[in-house]
Amino acid sequence: MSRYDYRVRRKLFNRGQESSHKDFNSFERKYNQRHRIQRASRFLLILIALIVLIGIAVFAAKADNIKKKSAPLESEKELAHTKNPL
Amino acid sequence: MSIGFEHSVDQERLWIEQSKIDTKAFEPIYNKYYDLIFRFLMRRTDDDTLAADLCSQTFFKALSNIKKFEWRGTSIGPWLYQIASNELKKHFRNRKKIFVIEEDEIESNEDLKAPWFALIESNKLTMVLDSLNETELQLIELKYFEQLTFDEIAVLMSSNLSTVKMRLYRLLSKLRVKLEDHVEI
Repeated sequence: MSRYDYRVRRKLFNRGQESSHKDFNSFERKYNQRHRIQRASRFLLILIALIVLIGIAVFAAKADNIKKKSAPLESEKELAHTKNPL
Repeated sequence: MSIGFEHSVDQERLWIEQSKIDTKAFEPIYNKYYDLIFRFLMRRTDDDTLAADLCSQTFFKALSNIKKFEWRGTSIGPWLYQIASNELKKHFRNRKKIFVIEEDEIESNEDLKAPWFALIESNKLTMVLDSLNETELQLIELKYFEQLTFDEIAVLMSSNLSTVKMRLYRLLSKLRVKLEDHVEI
């Protein structure tokens, strides 16, 4: 099996002429536009990552500060039990 | 026909350095190589619009990564060819690659017509082309289709003049052996 799909053409392009697609100004405009979009999306991505990181950090800090009730002493348990009207 | 390599490699270096600061400075590089890269892509796509898209993508990537381009005393041409080849590979990842053989030069030559059609019909030409690697194909394209001079090819392929000449002569003798029953090379 051959490597390529070979096609025979009488003439593929006018070698002496410049390609009609060759236009640096249009290329530069598109480049700047795409570059701006790329930079903006990269900035947004970093921002989102930062927000997520900060969120995790805040959540973790709050979790540390939650005061856990210490286990009641044996006497306290009895008191609670005797206060019960039932 | 020459594509006009009147600017020296040093001049190119200046353009590259300026392009790293200002995109406008990329214009001479774009103008110098656009047609060459476009024709290379056109020969591998057989589609004007697709070739233009891939060419635009090639120059976009080149300009985006120009800051990473390290000057090693050679032209930027091979680097652009490399990017264009990668774009082609990406495009044809799940499809069979295309290679267009132009016959306009042969059509105008009565002596070549008969052996040429015999070559095409027997599929011998495609078999021989299949046996060549990318560099050898590129060498033939640049010399006989783009009609560049040896100096220009040497600049484009980051080789010296004698290496390019030697490679081409070796390649021609290899082709001569493979095609001796069909044509005189």
